[in-house]
Amino acid sequence: MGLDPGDLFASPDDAAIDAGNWARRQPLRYTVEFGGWIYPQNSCFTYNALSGSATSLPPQKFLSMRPPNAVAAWHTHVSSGDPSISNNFSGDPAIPGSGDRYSSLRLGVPLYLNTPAGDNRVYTGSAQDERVLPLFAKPKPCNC
Amino acid sequence: MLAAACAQTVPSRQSPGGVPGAESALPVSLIQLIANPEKFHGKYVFVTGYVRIGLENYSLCLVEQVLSTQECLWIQTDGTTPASEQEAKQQAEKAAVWKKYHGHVVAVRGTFDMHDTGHLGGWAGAIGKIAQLVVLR
Repeated sequence: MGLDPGDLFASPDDAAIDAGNWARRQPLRYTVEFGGWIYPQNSCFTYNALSGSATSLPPQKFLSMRPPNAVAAWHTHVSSGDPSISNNFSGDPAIPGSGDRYSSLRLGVPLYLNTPAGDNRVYTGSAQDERVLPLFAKPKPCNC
Repeated sequence: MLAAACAQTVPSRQSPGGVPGAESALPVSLIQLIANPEKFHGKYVFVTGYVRIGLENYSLCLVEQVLSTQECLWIQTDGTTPASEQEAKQQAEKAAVWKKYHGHVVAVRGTFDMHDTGHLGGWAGAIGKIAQLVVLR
């Protein structure tokens, strides 16, 4: 149980942690981006996944694989060479409507980020609603 | 001033003596591309914009101070999923070339793709297969 898209988890946080763990097990884990959606299944949560390029996730594939009942999106950052950048939500200060936080607002769901440093962050719609999940947290499986 | 501009030709369509198909590139503004994506989808265009480069941000924007990436095109350097670490590094290096244009106004010849809306789908479309880039400011 765990470490694969489609497995069942107790909460969106647990599914996001597992999604990040899954991505970081892939051969190109630090050089291309991974992402997908988190959605309920029965009374549990699961996720789907796709891989992208060194700079982004393919938008058409990403948007088309959104389940109608998605409760969050998730993605990883590549290791860009500057940890202060790659280990935080992206965004260009000169463009207010840019980056991960704005993507979360635009997509209408919280957005999880798994950083190259290994932690998981989630933005849920306002500056006050940004959380960092415990480092090396183990995702709780769902017993349903 | 164009005479003082720094011209760069991206190797993919470079040839001695000029940019292939330069005369066939439609001169358009970013406003036209953003407002009428269907009309220009797949077309080879000549367009000017303001470059912003960063993590998950390869933008050719309408002006320096845009409000959102919906007023920008995604600069597509290579959107494929690499098959190996080597390919991924080459892809990252190709993208990193754009860092030197950050904060500059450039004119580019390239192909507009209305379906490629950039990272997480936040841009108004993409400009790719770039054959020529000229720094205007």
